[in-house]
Amino acid sequence: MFNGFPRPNGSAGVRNLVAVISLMDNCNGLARKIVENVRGTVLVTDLFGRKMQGTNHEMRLKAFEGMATNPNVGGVVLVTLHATSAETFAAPIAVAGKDVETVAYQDFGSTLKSVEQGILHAAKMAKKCSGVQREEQPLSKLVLGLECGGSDFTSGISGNPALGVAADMLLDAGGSVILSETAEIMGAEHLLAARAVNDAVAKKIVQAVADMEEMARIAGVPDIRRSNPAADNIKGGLTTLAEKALGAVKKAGSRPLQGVVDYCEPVVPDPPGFYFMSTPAPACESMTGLAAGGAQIIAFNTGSGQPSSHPVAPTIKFTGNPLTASRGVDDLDLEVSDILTGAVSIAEAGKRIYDEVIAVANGRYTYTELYDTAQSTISVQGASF
Amino acid sequence: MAAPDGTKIDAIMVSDTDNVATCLDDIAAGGDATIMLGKEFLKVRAEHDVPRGHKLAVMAIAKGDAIVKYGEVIGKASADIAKGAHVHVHNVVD
Repeated sequence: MFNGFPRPNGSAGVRNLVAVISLMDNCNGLARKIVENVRGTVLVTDLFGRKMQGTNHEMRLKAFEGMATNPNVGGVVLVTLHATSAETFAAPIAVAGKDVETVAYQDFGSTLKSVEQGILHAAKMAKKCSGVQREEQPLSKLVLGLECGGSDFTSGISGNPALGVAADMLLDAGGSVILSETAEIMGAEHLLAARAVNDAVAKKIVQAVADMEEMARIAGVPDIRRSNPAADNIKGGLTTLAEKALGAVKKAGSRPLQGVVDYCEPVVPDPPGFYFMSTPAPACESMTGLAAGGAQIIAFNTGSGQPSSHPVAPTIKFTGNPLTASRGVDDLDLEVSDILTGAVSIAEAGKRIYDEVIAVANGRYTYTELYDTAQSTISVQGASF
Repeated sequence: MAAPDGTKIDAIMVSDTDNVATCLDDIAAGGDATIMLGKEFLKVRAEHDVPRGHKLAVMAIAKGDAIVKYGEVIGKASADIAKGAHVHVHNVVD
């Protein structure tokens, strides 16, 4: 069980955030000014946005809708240039039963007036959110995103295996986990396919890797498989693609693969379990996918250090590298490098991570939440793999 | 913590079917590497300098045989590999 904020659609949040979302880059500054002035808000901005079309437009719709309807969000202020551009985004948020207001700069033609309107909306929502009580929730409502970034040789031997133990513990308690980063599983997708609950899911995960390789080819990377491991990976000791992928897949524990979804698609945990989302490998893009998919918490293993987190999903940062752990005492929420000295088993370290996930679910802050250094990035097709 | 005889842990094997260990620190040729596998320890003499993060063979591996890490095949030996040898791109293929 955990104590979470109940939502009209039956989901439960581990936070009750007012998300101030800028729908296009020309309004990012306005959204930032609103968030700077109201406690209880988080900033979601992106680049581009104006006049986007085709696949990129579809992806932004899904990403913004997914983040705005994440169970952690109690209210949304959309900031945009003109009100019509916000209508498409506002409708599904209202359908999910969340308060939503729009601030359109061109209604005011004034920075100060549009920011003032945004502050008023956000403050009213934050006041309302602050009065809502947490209620007991089953772990079947908890979805944990699994992330690694700044990976090094310890990632596959300490941090990721410990996260895999925590993932299995959450799954066995009725919760769900999402693994992402398609390029990182390339070379081990057959192992994930073997864990699939049925042939359709097995085919989907193999196809997700093939689709990503095709996208890479179109974008001028003719053989992404051959270019991995990269030069810095090789210098660090990774010899083959399979070795790199196996280390990454360790995060996902050992339970069956229930389903495969596209970037920013909602992961409906029905049944609860282990899911895969096809995302690019860079952390901010994949975390944005996880948050848009409905993950309330992200557990992020960094080998050599990585400062990022997601504004909508509290991100637990940890490492299995003793040097990284000693340097990151101010921004790592826990560490598991004692696996490497034999002081703890991987199972014990995994429990340490699991206990932190439950604590964060119940309200404990992560360092990156406290520093407010989060970054959301919606992928742009063709640019990232 | 360290191995029962007090020496520090130089490398880790992930699974008991692995034939390589991953070095936690640089190991000099000729040195005895203390390798941890779960709660077990073994010693292997390094035949070459093996840098931190790189792999050391814990047994002889014949050309064409599988290189096993994480209990899975990660590649195969492109040459005969002696026990204690540096295992990397120069003697492993996909």
